[in-house]
Amino acid sequence: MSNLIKDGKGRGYLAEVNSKQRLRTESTNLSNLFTVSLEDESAFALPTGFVPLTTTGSYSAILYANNTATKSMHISTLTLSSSVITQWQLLVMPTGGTITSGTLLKTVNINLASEREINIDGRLGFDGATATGGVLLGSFTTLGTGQLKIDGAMIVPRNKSIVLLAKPSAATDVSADLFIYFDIAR
Amino acid sequence: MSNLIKDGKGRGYLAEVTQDQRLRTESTILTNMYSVSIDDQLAFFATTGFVPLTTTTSFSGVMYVKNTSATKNLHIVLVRPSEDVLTAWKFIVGPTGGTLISNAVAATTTNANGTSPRGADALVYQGADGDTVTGGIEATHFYSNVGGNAIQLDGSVLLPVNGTFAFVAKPSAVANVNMTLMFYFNDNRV
Repeated sequence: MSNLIKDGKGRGYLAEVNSKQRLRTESTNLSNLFTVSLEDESAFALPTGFVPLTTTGSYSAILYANNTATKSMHISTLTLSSSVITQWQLLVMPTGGTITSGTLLKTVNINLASEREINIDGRLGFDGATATGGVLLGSFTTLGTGQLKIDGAMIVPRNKSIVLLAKPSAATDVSADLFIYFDIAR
Repeated sequence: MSNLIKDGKGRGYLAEVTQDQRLRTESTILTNMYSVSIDDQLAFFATTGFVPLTTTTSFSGVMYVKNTSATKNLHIVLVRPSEDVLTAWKFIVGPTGGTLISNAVAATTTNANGTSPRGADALVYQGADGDTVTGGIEATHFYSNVGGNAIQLDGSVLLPVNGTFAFVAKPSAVANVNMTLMFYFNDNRV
């Protein structure tokens, strides 16, 4: 038995199957960040603001995030910014360093209609702040603003952490925004 | 009982299910901005035009937005500053005062669907050199290099009814700066 798929609006349209035997569809593509932000109000930004750096010969840790929430943390987008050419490193699972005792960083729910908060340990770095251990995940260079879109594929389990380090080519301010979400449906 | 899916055009094609037990489809992918523009005509561009700034030691208010819709959230799709020198920017959520707001100079807001006469349910103001912004929270800071850098938010950052935000800029030298936004309105649903 074979069936046709009818238009639910009652206009009599029937869905097409093409010569490659594929059902033709039209899909509005929503990012996971968007869906979680709208439906679950569980998408957040960790913005550092401008961090002044004078150390140019070595990396300073700028942003540390330890997932102390009950759900896995998905990294959606990383926005990095600098006023001079700056090298960045993203490390996973650092084991220590002075960044872990940096100033507490407030998370911002990117659904600005929401007052929902998340329990993660975010720390703001400073000039000369260190991070020890960990595995290098990626290196980047910025002048102005650059975005790295990971779309949630990078998953940080509970009690695991990441750290972002910067080495500018001259004294400068740098900033980083980490966009994360917690997929409560899975 | 199992069914086959037939071609609605009457050519006899039947939809395939793969060995991984997935229905094969061929989809045209639409962005949310596109869908809202086509279906609801509620997608917009807003731009300040080039604002000449001579103040390089403090931030000047460049763009202010208030969501005046009675029911819909305002979703920010793209933030696109442009400038002729390296410029520092701040994104301020919930500003309450300052000359950027009190001067109330309307920026240009255009429906992205050129066939639609619908306007945006939003106040969008553009600033001038030395304009101030008071109150609110500095949600993020960033630099934009010569020519500009695009920040794609894909609608994930959304402003509730009566919510406000502003962009302020501090160029590294006398410059013209511009802020262009893409945004749309949607109900609190997917």
